[in-house]
Amino acid sequence: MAVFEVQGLSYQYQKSHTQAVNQVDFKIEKGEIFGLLGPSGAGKSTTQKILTKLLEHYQGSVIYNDQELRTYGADFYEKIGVGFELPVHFNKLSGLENMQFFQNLYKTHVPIEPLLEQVGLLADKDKRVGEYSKGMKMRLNFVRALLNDPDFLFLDEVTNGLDPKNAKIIKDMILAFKAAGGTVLLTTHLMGDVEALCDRVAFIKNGAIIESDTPKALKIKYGERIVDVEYKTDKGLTKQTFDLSDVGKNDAFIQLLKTADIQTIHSGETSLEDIFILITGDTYDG
Amino acid sequence: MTVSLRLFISEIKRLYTYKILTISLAISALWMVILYGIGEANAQSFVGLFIALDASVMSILMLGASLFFEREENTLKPLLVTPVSTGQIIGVKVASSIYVALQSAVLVSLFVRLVMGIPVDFMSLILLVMLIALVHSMIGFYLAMKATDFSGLLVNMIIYSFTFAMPSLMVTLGLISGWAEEIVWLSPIGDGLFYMQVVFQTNGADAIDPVFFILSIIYLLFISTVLYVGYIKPNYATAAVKE
Repeated sequence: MAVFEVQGLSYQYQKSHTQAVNQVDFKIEKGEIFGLLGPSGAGKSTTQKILTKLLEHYQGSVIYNDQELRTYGADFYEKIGVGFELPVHFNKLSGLENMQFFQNLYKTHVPIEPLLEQVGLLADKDKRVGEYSKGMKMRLNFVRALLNDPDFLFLDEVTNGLDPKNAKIIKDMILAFKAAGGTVLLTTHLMGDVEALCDRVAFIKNGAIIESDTPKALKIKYGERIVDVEYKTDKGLTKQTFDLSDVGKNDAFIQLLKTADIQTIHSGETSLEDIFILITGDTYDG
Repeated sequence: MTVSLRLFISEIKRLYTYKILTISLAISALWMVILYGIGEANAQSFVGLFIALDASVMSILMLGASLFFEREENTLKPLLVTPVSTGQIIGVKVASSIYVALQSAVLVSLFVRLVMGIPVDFMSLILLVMLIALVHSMIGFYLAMKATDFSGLLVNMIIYSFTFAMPSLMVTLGLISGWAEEIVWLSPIGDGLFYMQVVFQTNGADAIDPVFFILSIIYLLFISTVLYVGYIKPNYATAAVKE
């Protein structure tokens, strides 16, 4: 069942001569993590702003839970959580006060302190946010998105500025949210996040979706059907490449496995970084 | 409790934390010291002037500054993705601004009534300060949304204050008369000064034409409505989302 069904979505900013989003179609199924990927300025954030109703007057159709998005009022946000790319807190309030300020506006509340504990901010809950590091502010951003026990999470560059340990905590929480039945739209240019989280992805460039599938399927599609074997010889490391299609019947390959001192075996499956560069024609700076 | 009331209470707590209410109280204390220093006879003429300027210029500054700092902290955008409508957000910000103006006006008026024995019509004071603060909060919103940075807001505010406050002050203090008196009602600050004559029953209060009084109230409500419907509400979300 699709939670979001987007058809022919287009948007043009005032004073701009080009479409920021141009005839975009995609679906987000219930319980999946859908990644919207692309270089800066490709249209990811604009699409997310439309889906969170921050931008109106779009062309095309956006159906949310069987109802056109335009017809929803402010109650749309009761079961939606939004994690912004930049910190969005009152610097002179403490972390806890910030969370209380926003949670107060929802009908459904979840206990704040366990969430702060999960992201490692409980000890700093009474400290002013102005004294937080960027990573702490980003973790607080994520907690803010979960305050109302949402069914759907919009996350924009959610691990931006986090060290690997804290990034993993956030990614594990996203996976736990999914396991509990939640749905996520993840907007990012960090392919590591995509690998770890996304069930399906769409690549967006110049406002249009140019490729969409599961990460696995894309890696196979854009990869080479080969197997590289590296093994030790008297001259050092030697690499030999085999065709993946008949590798099981390839005597040279089987013989190599039996006799050589194998160091590595890799399939020709490509990485998402390479696909990103190939599809978007952009340099990958993740 | 409605979501607007919850947001209003949170906003007032925030203003306390940000020391905006403390600054307002300090300014009120300054007015009280000055009024006490100039004596009862002069204080009756000047208390209305202080309160009108406080409710008008301070409302513009408070709302404009608050909007700018919130934009800097990126806190306008997350409010737009909560179950609070744009109208409620604007309404709560205006209500908070009115609250600050009322706090100052009531404290200064209580002081001049209790300490200096100056007559005060408290019912008129509350209603008219609310009206002055309402229209100037809307003007503050408009000037802040039109400005590209904080210094731009200050320039806009100074231009507004000089254009509308100076002629009104000069008429009120009797420095200019004639045709200027006929058009001073076009200035919301001028209307504020005029209302304070009623509140503090200063010279000329008896001669106020009730029809003119009601028309000026309609005029200020009309300006507030035009600014809200014609500019602030339709453009608020775009201004808030802009980074």
